[in-house]
Amino acid sequence: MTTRYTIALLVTILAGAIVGGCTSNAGVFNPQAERVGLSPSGSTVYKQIELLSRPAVKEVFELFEDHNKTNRAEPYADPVLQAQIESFTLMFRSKKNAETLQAILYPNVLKADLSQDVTTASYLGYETGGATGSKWGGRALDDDVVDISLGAIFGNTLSALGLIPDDKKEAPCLSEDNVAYDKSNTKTFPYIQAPL
Amino acid sequence: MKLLRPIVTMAVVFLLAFSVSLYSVRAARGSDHQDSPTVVANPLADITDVFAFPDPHDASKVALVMDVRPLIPSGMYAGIALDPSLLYQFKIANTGVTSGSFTENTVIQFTADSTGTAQNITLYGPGKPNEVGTSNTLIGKTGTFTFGKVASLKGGIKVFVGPRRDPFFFDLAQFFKVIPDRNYMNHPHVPPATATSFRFASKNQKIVLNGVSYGTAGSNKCVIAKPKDFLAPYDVLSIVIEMPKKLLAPASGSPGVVGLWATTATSGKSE
Repeated sequence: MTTRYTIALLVTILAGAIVGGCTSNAGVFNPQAERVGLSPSGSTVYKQIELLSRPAVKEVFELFEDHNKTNRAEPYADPVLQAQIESFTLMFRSKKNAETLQAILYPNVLKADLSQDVTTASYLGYETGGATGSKWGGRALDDDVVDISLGAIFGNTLSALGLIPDDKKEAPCLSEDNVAYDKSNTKTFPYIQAPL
Repeated sequence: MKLLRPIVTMAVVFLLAFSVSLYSVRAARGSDHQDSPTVVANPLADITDVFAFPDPHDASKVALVMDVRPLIPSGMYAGIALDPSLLYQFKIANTGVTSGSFTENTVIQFTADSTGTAQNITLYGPGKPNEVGTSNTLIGKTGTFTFGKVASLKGGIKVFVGPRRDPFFFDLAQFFKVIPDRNYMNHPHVPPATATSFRFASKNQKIVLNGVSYGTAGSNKCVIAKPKDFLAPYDVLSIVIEMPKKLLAPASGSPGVVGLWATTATSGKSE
């Protein structure tokens, strides 16, 4: 009896673990609550719930608690992110650094200059006149966007570009994450490495 | 009873292993890929990255990539496909960007017709949006293609939707030690930071930023430990489109500076 009881208990716990693991976030996303119905012409209306543009901007600068709201905004109508780019940077750097980063990163859209007749992209290349590698801008698959971002926030990138004087508040231990790109993307469509 | 003992032992071992695996998957969550409760609850709506780059062999073409569904463990992508209740969309501003106007005037939309990897996917656009803003309807259909296969559509457009290795790379675990607020698993009771440094492999590692020397990792008292790309063992679902740049040009003009972003939007129908 004891053994049978133990097995039954294990099965119950196991079932509970499965259910718990699968539904731990139940109730957070409710499609019906998000429903916006049909347009006057009868077309299905889709309501935005997620947004991404430049990498590591919202994720670094913006408080987690604000993402659910700002993910539903247009990237050019997001005063929360705009303010937090400055307030976050001010915790570490000068007012000039904070204002400059805010001016570069807001509105939060990925910029690319399609008039450039080149075959390489480079993150923030448009905004920096090609200082990151290519005036085309955009974002290449192997761009080290983390180090570019950390260098601008905690390093000397803004002063090295001549945009502002050096505030001498660099944090060298936070200016790069020391992770190298080792993924085998290809030169043929769809470019990204096959799944593992 | 003697026969049951090994069964119980096996069950306990299995339970422990399963519990550890559950913990591991849950603990793996918490990247910048999972940046709101809504997308954590619906990972197929979770955009992990956006890329835009020219065709490496043809400067007249541009490729756009939207990755969704973060943290698919290695070898576990079978059966994972787009959510048919969602609209996956690139939004592009192609006029006025240089003078500070970012209102979208071109969109590229994708929907799926069913769940699972047998789904067909329809591309709408690129074209003028029916609405500007965060509530959208579908624009004109361009073509339909099969999940997991490269397809060529009219207008010189190539498309692909399917599993790919996550191209993002970041020592995310260490980042969360520096800024614990950004890890959704730390909410609502966010712990204090436990690090003020990324990981450096050696105390002798020189830190040179834009040609300026800042000493070594050791002299700056950085954390000395092996850095790790948290995303290395994971796949994502990639939505990839390549097209002639002229399709992203203003109505009357040549391709110029664009501002772009990606969104997911729900119809409210069941997941």
